[in-house]
Amino acid sequence: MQDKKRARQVSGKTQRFWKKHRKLEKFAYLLPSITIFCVFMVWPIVYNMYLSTMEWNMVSPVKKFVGFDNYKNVFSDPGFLKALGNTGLYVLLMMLFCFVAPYFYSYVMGKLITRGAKVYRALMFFPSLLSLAVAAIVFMWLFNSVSGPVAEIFELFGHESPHWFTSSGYVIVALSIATGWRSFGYNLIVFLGAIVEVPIELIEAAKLEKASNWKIFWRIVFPLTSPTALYVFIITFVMGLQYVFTPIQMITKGGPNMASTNLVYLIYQYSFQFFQTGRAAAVAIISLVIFLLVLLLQNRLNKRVHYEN
Amino acid sequence: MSTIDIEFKNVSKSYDGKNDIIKGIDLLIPSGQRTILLGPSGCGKTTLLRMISGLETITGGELWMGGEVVNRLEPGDRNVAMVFQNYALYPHMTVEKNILFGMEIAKIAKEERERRLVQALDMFGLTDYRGCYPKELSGGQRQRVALCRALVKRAPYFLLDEPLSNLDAQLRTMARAELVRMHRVYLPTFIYVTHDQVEAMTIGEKIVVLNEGKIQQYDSPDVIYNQPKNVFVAKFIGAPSMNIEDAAVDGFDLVVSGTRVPIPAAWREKIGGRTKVKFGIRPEHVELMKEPAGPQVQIHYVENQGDKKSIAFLLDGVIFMATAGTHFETQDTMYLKMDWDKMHIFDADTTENVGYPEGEDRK
Amino acid sequence: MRIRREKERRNIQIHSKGEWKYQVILIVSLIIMMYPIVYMIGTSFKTLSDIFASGLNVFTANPTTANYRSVFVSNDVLRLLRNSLIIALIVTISKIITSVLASYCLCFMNLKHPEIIFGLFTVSMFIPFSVIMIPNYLTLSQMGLNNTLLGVALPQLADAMGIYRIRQSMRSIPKPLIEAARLDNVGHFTILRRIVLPLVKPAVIAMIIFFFINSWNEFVWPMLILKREELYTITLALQTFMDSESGSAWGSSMALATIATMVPMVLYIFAQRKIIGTFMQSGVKE
Repeated sequence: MQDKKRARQVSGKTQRFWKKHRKLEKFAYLLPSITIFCVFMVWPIVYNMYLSTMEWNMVSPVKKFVGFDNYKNVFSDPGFLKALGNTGLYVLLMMLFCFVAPYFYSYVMGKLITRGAKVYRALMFFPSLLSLAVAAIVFMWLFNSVSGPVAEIFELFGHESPHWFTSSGYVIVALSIATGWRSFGYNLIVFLGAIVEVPIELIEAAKLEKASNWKIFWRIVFPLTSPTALYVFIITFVMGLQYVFTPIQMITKGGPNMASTNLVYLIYQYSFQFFQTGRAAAVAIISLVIFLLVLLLQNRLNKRVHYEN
Repeated sequence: MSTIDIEFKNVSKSYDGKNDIIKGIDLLIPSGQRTILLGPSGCGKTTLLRMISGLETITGGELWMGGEVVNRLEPGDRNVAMVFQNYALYPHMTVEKNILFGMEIAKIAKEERERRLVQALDMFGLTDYRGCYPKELSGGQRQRVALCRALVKRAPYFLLDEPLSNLDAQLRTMARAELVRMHRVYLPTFIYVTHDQVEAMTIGEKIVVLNEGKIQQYDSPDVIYNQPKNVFVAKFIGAPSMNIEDAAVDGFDLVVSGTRVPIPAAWREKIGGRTKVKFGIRPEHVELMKEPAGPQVQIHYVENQGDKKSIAFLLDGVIFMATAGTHFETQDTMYLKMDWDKMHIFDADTTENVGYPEGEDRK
Repeated sequence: MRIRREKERRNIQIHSKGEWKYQVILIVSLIIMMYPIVYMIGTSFKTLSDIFASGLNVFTANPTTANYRSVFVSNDVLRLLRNSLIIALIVTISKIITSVLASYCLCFMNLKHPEIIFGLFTVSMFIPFSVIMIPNYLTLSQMGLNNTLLGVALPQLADAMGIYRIRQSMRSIPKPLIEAARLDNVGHFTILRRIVLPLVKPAVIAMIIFFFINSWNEFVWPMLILKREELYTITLALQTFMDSESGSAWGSSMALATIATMVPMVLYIFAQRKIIGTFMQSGVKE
């Protein structure tokens, strides 16, 4: 009894306060994060939708409501269609560099080799430590068409190096390589985490039945790692959408002749260079809708894959 | 002091607001006694224990501890010590730190902390392991550290949630004795959750048998075993479990799977006007003989359990169990001799025990 | 541990046949992947004529520190580092505190529907930056934080990825550990400090480094907020070399890029295992 009384007396003042206000305490732990998210994540989306129905130059005190005009104008703007197409290309290339390639490499490193995996993964993660800006500047020199190392290689084979950053087509490939190189390692590690979890017994059992590595991947590794694959797919999509912005801004500014621009860069130009904030907001909303559609589609496909297996 | 009793008054618990998993429990747990909460998994025994500790909220009724309603009292204010199933030792603290942590929080004087620590370690033979981390200890040692940690709190309530279930059989027997010894020294109100009836029988002074969120019986181990209150308790306690069969009352006879047995006079008034009952008898009260002294049975299979044999046999196509010594020899066909005085009669509908004749020695 | 070693041994027995093929692929890939980094560092020590003469060779016979000296003259490198450091410290400290608190609350404070709140946090990880860029810029301008270091840091004081990873790590702590402490009348903050934090230390350290590196490397948002050159971060300063493809800034730009990369590299070398471990553990699981 005495102990009990004493225990209650000594429990500190602050603790007693929180005990009385149990709900408040939980709230206090969540509040900082929730505030930041609401102000800088949720509210912006809502505000962006609002802006997309306005005609505004970002500085004027008056905004004019124009309904869906911004959307209509955007769709009739050849620049937008160009950016949309380019974005598709960027996403496709990023899927190759940052989804397909790391999936393959993580399978090799996680299940097909017996030594060196730790060294490989530590080193392959290295480029992911670099800023995209650093990646951009390094690749700008690597792809320098006069005397960059890539040009030297072309010369070795007796070809003239393409002008990577000034010819349309090549420019998207070059920028994607720079971005993909820098982001590959991170996705590799995430994939590797899922692949080492696949029980080796399953693979041994398949080996005993003389299944090829290719078959083992599709029949065992892929189904068991598909939740991670979905996650990486989504972040790669986001990367394809926005990571390329940094190299575009640093190297090409969208050029030549909009050959390297993408939706995010277009949003930036509309809002911060042409001061057509409403239009920029409309493009932002469109990019969000496209992103959600892809998520939905991917989710469907993913479910069907599970079902079939 | 009676104020450290624990009393449940129509306590219930529901997670979804619809289905109660604890259904209106009324229970008085007197202080200083070893009380066992016993039941199959999912019966609500752990929930009940966690309600006492305050880790589980109460959605209906009142829980009284130390003369006050504690429904809304924080776990830390209830002054209970608890031993968890997996011991819940802090992996990053040494044995010593694990034991001292709670006392430090309670701001107990340093010398006193040290005194209790040394005493507890000594009591459980852990003095040499003071500086070890939990991962360096065996299962039995961890379990004892958990006991030490709970013990030094000197709490009037001592709660244990299946503390021995992770030990192997040999250690368990030793640990049971240790627990009882510890209780005799400190005499806290000791509440022990288990699904193991042997543990319940050996440790408990009182046993609460629970099923589906309701108390089935609350009695001493003896009474629980010898006078089970209903079919559930009768079946749950004892291994192999009690033979229970539907029986018809035909005049002064009881008919159990085709066999007619005269009802002893003392039982008749207990059975009253019922025409259908459930008849029960424990396997150890069933004797099989080679001489035709009773109804004929077919031996189904025999299991040698080391210290005894349990024998399954068919009486008119219905399986019954009997136990016998290991030297007992069986043959395909044997004859049945039941100790009719040791039978149990339950109501066919309510499955409640109809009671036992006065003055009967049930032991 | 023993089980893992046993598995590794079995791995060897089964796969050693065709392994050399994969080793070749990996080594070649590794060389290609590491080349740009080595190239960056090597070039930063070359004179301009050396750069034009050396072709694919990243090393030079006559290393020079001229590029570094010229960067220190043309850009106030110490100021760039200081600006980057201020932002990265504010962001990192704040993110780790908010993430730990939120994760603790989600795991151990008996919320009614923690998975809903957690789900909302998780979804926000995937919101494309382009959607929130303009409104955030406007909000910051309205607050008068345009062209301030604080303005760069403010929208990043909490982090969904941090909550995701640290919660993942906290979830592996058995609940009874926390309950035992609750019975001892230990307050939540003390439980967090004395029990939970020591147990999730590897994940917390990994996240601290991850946050720091991310903030250090950030380009787009600082570019929008910081227009005055004396506020530039080191990453942002790289864009001053991008005016031409002429090649005159070749060596010095590589020098600044190397300086910008040093900090993340050193941090990574210091905590490589924890970082890789945390990211590997927390892949999505069913």
